[in-house]
Amino acid sequence: MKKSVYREDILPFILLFSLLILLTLLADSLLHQRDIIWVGRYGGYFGTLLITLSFMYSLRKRKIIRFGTLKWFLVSHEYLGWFGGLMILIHGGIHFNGLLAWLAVAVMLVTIASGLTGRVLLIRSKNLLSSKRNDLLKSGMDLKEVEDRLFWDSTAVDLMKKWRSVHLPITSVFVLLALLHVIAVSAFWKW
Amino acid sequence: MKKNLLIVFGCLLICIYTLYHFPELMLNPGKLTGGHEQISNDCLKCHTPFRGVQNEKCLDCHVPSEIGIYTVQGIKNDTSDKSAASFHKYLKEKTCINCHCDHQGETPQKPIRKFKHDMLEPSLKTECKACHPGPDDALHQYVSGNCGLCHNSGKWEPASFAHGDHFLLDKDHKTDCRTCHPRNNFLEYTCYGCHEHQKEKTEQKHVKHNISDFSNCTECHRSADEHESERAWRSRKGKRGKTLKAGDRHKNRPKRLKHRSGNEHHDEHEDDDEHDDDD
Repeated sequence: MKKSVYREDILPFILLFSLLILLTLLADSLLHQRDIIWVGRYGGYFGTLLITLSFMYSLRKRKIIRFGTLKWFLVSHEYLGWFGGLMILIHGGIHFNGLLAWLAVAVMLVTIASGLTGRVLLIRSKNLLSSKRNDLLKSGMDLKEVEDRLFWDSTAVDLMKKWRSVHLPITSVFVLLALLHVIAVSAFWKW
Repeated sequence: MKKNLLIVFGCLLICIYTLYHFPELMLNPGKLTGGHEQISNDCLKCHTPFRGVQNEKCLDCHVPSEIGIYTVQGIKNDTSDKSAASFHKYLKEKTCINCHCDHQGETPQKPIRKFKHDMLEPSLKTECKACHPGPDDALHQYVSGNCGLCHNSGKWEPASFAHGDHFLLDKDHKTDCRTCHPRNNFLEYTCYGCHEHQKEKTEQKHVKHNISDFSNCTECHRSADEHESERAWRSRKGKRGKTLKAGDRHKNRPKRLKHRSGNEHHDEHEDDDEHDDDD
């Protein structure tokens, strides 16, 4: 059965992102109703911790740490990033003051969207290359021909490289804005 | 990697520039209280970096003894609600940020956290009317004085007083508070306020049962149910082996009875013969 791109790739992306926004709205509403908005402050601490932990994937990929498998760290990166983002969104709430904080949240959302996109592209790339290469080799084609035939397909992998060239700077800008926000709050908070 | 660093560095420069020139836009977590607009772009007017808001900075403009009485410009406040704010002079410690956060909007009366009466000097804690208007409902119509008898300043409602703990207001006792508590003193009560309980008749009844001290009615009588009171009396007599005395009274409830001289209730029941001794 022909797999639907929409069902396999796009729909999960939309659902995950929409769920993030929906849960944020629900949580914010609940915190306000129960008059426990102070919980949101701790959401910021917890979310920052989760996002910081998610960067262990980057350390593993660059072999700065060597325990665990890349696949495990990648899956952890996805979950920690998503949940950490949720905590940060609850922390921010539905308020629009302080441009610095809101820029950080906006860039975080772009980062998460970018991350979800990368997840879709990675899965597609892996599936496409693997199955096609096997099929072509089984049909008796030699390796060079297989490579030629896979030329366009290999752009999928190039697509991943390009995706990384967007995802990394966005993430770096997000980290910068988040740091500036934390410094600003520390500077003006009532200690 | 290089491109990454350039992007980050560029963003950093932009952020620093905007933070320096537009701090209110970049950092302000909420609109300032009305009256602080002119300092809205000067965060350091109130904030000391990494040390929070120092009270001395508030006190530079706001004198606690004059809050609610004079404005910051020294103009006398002639509005009727000035007494509500004038309690500031009675605060034990002048820590403004315990209650006030300027970034909560234009109404400074909306504090960021609940006011605690422990902040007040002890002498003022019992003077509720110094800051709060008295209740104007029927229940409090004849009540004045120490609100703390029934209310807790930590949680005003519901009132901590339960009449049923002392005496059940059953159908036989649905009457004006003043009938049992004359002179607006709810620490004292009298059962002789109603013609149903006349002192002479009461004395006769109790002497008949060998009860010599019956000055504290509610020690045995917690409602109109005489059987209950009899059980209470027998139980106490059995435990202690003696007739009850005034000194055995619950220490939180007073024991003075005042013979009520008013005649208002005598007209309700003209046929006194119907209420004869039943023992």
